[in-house]
Amino acid sequence: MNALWDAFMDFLPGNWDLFKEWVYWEFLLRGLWISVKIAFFAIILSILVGTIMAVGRLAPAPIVRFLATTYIEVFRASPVLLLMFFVFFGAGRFSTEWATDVPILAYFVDDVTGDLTPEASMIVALTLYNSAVVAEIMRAGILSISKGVIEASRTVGLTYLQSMRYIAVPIAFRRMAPGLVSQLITLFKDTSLASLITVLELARRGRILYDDFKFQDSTVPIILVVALMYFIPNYMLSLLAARLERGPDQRARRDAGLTAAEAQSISGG
Amino acid sequence: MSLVALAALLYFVVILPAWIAAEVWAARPGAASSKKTAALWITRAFALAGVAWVLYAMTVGASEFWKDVWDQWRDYYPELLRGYRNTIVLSLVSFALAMLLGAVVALTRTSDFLVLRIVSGAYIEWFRNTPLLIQLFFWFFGLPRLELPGIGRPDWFLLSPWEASIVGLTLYTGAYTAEALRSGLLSIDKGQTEAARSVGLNYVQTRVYVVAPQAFRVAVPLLTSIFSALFRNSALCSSIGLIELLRAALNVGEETFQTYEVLALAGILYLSLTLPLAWASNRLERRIARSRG
Repeated sequence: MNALWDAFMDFLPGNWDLFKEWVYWEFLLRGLWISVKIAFFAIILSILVGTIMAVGRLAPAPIVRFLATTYIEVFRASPVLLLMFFVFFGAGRFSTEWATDVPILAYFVDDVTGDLTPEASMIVALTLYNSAVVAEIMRAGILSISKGVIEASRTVGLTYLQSMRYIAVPIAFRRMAPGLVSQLITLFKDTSLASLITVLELARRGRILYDDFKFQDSTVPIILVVALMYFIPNYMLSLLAARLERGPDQRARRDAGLTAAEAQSISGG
Repeated sequence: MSLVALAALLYFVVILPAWIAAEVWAARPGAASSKKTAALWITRAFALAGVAWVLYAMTVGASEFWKDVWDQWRDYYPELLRGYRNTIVLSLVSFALAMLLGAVVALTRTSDFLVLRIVSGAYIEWFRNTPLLIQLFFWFFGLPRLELPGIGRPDWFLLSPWEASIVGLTLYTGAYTAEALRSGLLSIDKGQTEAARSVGLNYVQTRVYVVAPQAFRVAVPLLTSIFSALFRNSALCSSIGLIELLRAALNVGEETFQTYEVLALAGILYLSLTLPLAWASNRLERRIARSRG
């Protein structure tokens, strides 16, 4: 089997020799793990901030609406790369030593310099951009609940909180799910930008390998393997998004092309 | 400083959400509209004080910062505007090419020929699900070092930053425009095709003269947001040495050591195009929604 695999790699254009050794796979996979960690923290924070902003944008008080709308529109319209450099170069301007004593925040602060780590800068930048998009996805989900459904649930005796808990939130969540998954794909692709600020994630590790003179001939194989490591999880997520889009009735609305939710989440690397 | 930071954290994590929750609760259906509770007013007072503080800190409190920003603009605006122009040219060229590519791919993806459908589907999935940065690196660093059996390593594999940026952005964005146009195509009623065929148009004529123009109209709002994304994505080309807006700003920053101020300027320049685009796209979407009833 191994011999067959090696013969296959010899047949491909480019020098695939380094991928016959496990160390190089391991080197890249460790980078993938860092990318996944960044994406994980960023999506959790984005959903938290995005929920606040979505509710804020629909709030009755005009000033709340204004603030939330400003936040959403500005961050949704700025390039993630610019936000990343902005946070990264700006990080030194905030005093963050105090955070080394706080349990979770300590992870994001460099012990020695007291600055935000590059990973944390990336997470903050991704959160700024993605929370704005998530807020828009959530707003669309909330608006898609018709008033009649809520009124009906109140009429049969549910309290306001019960009608939210059992009727509104489940419906809205089902509407939002495909958009959120598509956004997760975008976010995971965007983690590759962290390679430009010295984070040792997948894209950076690929770059380290092919910048080495002895792997010059393997540049294309390395880039393809790195791209494949991004592709596989993203493709599975896109299948999941398509399935969620179709809903429980699998025969209904098979494949309608790019949805509005997906169109919102076009961005970044 | 640590106290201020803690106060800010407390504000964003506790007071702002509490305020929003209080507002939503007070406006819930069935709540007495005239009676505002004391709790609501207290949260409002706290939150508004915080808003005032943030606004003050960003304007008067940061007047030194804004003065520096202005100085940077006054001294370096030719460089920044040159970068801005490059970004715009790059986006327009790539978008025009991506539209052509997308139109071809969308038509083949929905055609009756299985092989064409598979090829265009594979193209869309691969280019949509891998990072643009990796794709740019492939065109700029990978391609010149690729030796193909038969043709070897031709000179034209060595792309300049401009060429690599245009190729990379076009192929990446083409996958999205293809999907946008395809969702337009799928939204066109089958009756249109059947009617066109029955009056004697052949397959290609039907697709090009009857279905495609209608599909394009449906896809316009999607295409607007794709263009906006392309404009922002062009910032990634700074990593392969193209002097566009972001790279120009970083270069100025390296000269003056005021990177933060220059990046703020670059941000304002990016927003000067993406904000109006978002606004126009919203309006367009609303108008189409209204015209469809």
